[in-house]
Amino acid sequence: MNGQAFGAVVVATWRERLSRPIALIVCFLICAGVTGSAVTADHALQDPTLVLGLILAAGSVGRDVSSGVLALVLTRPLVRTTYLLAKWTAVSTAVAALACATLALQAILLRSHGVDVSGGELWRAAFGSATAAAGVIAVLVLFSVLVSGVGDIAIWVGLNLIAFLAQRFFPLRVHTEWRSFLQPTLGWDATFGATPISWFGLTSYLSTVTLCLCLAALALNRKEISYASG
Amino acid sequence: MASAAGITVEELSKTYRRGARSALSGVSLTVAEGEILGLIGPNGAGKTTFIGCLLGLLTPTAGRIRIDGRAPDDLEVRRATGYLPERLQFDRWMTGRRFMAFHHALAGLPPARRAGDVTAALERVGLESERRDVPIRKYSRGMLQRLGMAQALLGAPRFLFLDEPASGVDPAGVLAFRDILTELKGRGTTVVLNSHQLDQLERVCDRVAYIEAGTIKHVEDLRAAELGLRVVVVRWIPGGAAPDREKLAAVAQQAGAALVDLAPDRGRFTVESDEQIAALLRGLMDAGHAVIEAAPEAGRLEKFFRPAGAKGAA
Repeated sequence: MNGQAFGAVVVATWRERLSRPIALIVCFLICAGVTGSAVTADHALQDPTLVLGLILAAGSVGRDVSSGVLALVLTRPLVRTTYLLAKWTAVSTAVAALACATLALQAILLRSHGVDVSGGELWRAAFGSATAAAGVIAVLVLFSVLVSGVGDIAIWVGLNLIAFLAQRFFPLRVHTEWRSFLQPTLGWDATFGATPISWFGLTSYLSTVTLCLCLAALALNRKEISYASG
Repeated sequence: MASAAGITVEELSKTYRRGARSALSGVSLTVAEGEILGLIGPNGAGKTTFIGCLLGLLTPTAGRIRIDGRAPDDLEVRRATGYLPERLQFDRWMTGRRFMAFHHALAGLPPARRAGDVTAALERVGLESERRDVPIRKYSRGMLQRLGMAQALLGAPRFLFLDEPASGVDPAGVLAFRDILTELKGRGTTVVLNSHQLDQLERVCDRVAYIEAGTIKHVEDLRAAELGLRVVVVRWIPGGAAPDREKLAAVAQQAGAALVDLAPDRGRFTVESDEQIAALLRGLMDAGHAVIEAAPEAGRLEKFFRPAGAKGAA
């Protein structure tokens, strides 16, 4: 792997994702709203990862394809899988960092309101947030490779809607499985708090993330990048 | 067959929509190391697809491409490749300098050299220093082209693919780009240049391939040693009476040339060699014409875009 190119794509993606004023304002409003709800209504930590992920990951690869940026990038000595992993790493860490910062702020405000939030509780919430970010971004990156622009979000929402309708009209367990595929997460308590460790939960999460990234790499390597796009 | 050091394209075909639309059909071509090859052709002729295949961004339906003896998407080839797209795409947050630094890193060039390489490349294309730290979204079309050329030159590539490099560039930029191409040619860089600016192509290219309907209809060799019959325009100071056509035709014939057209201050002659030009000029001066200029007629490539010329070339 070209480490230098990997780092360059990660940094460029951070800057690109975090320099869009509208997305940042929406993220701020969501974090503020979730924090307000956590402090005044629920009196417990609330995780904003999923919504932040949907906003910051939208079109992570697809926009580069449709704008024509990717064509120029891929003429450099950069393996496509490296580019893909760099995108996933950059968006996941950005979402996880924002979510963890929000959780930390919630913990401070909850304590100031007399609600006891232990360090362990905050750690477990942050762990769940980071794994949720890595999981849902892997799924969105896969969809983003398949469709251009921000069609990945449309696919993700559409599949969730289908799962919801399936659950409403058919007494099937598929909804749960479907959802755990679309929103893979790893709760600390559910996985490592149990005795013995929940190997099923751990392997289920890791296999979903790995499968998504492998499929995304396969699709990207087979994809023809329009030289004249944009 | 070209040497492994150049570009070899063998029976390249590319179809879209599962074979329903053919973009390239049986294209074979070699580009020698250090050669500048121009690509011309009408819109939709397949030039874009051809360059996409050369860059390894598109997968050929049939045929084979070798650059330096390797596949175009080989990382070693990519390390030796520079590419300027027709329209430079970029992330909106980037400044010109950051964009260059980003591509310097992607190219795997030493970080210690980054600042110096970036500045040198930007200076080479004439991008003013005060514009280098401005967001690219504020660049004019000409500035974008200069920036695109600068990133293509990073790492001194041995293979350069340029798509309409002078599009939107001011005259000074056009001259600068021409100088850069001349310099690259001197260094042995192999260049594939797609452009509609025929006069520019005539000035810098060794050969020009005319592509139409997905096939190479003709390859025009512009190198002096390869020239066959060519047209020379000779200008002289017009005298009182109109020049005698028969007399001038005889002078031309004596030199081995032939008179094509005649005007009071100039004549168009076909010649086959430099010696014939020298003999023709001597004959004209001996006949009393005050010759002030003799130059090869520009527009050798225009014939491809005139209906009769294109058919004839095919």
